[in-house]
Amino acid sequence: MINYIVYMIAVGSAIIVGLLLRLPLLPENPKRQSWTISVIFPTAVLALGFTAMISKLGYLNSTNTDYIIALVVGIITSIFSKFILERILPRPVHDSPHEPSLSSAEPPEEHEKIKESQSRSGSSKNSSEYKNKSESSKNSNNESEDNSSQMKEESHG
Amino acid sequence: MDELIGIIIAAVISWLNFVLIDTWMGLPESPGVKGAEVIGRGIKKRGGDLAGGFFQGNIVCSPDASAGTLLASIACYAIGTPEGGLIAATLVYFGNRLCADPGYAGTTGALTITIIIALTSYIGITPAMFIVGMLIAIFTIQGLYHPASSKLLGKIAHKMGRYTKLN
Repeated sequence: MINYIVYMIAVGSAIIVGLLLRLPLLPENPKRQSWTISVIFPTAVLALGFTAMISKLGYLNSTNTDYIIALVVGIITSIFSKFILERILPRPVHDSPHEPSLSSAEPPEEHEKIKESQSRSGSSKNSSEYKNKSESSKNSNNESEDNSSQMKEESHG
Repeated sequence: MDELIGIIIAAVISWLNFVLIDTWMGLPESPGVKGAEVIGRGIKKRGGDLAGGFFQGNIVCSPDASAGTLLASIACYAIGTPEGGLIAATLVYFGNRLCADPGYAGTTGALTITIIIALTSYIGITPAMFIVGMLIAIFTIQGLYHPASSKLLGKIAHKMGRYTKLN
């Protein structure tokens, strides 16, 4: 017989600790294209899955310690989602109109540093390459903005 | 329940489960990876529909609701309901992330079929019937005739407002 309370404790503790760790409750819109790790998805789903694994491995044996194990599973799951998941399974590195590229996600200070180092080295080829790259990234950003505005208009329509 | 009738019902439920969830999650809208685009455009060249082709390409290239439905059925058969389905949903999520997919379709498909398997067990449909049913369901999409199946998927995408804007 499945003990639903164990699963509820695991999900509940994962949600509470996830919120305390400042994970967003839900991914941003449009949700189906979002790579943001949030409390509801995937943290709660992972908590259910990890609890099921623990259960089937025989660590839950219908005693009061089951509730403590479920609580710990929920806490570990939210810590895993916050700090480890993005490191072991990072979002893909490619320029797609629907997904933000890592190059555009870099802080502007990084771009400034690259620009400065290239201007110091004085190689015109490198700087022109960088210019082209920055222009293409600007274009891709504009495209993505256009796409997002189109999608917004459609959702309003 | 008679095994043959059970398999037919399971096939219909599995087909609806993965097609509706995958379409809702936007698989016909755009190819997630290069491979899906190649498959989509290849199907269009052979007289199919581009949105349906993207759908078919996407379910080949990453574990979406079709894989979620099949894996959850297998896990429920092997491990038990609902633990197997929950474990399958977790593993499908990791598989999705490895395949450059955010993971909504696969995980949702695995969770919904787990609920459906739990509910239909009361009328005698077993997880084994769902495994066979899902194989039949995916065969109708990927195994028979791509142009026709892609047109059907394109029509469903159009009705659900998920038709591709790419040319």
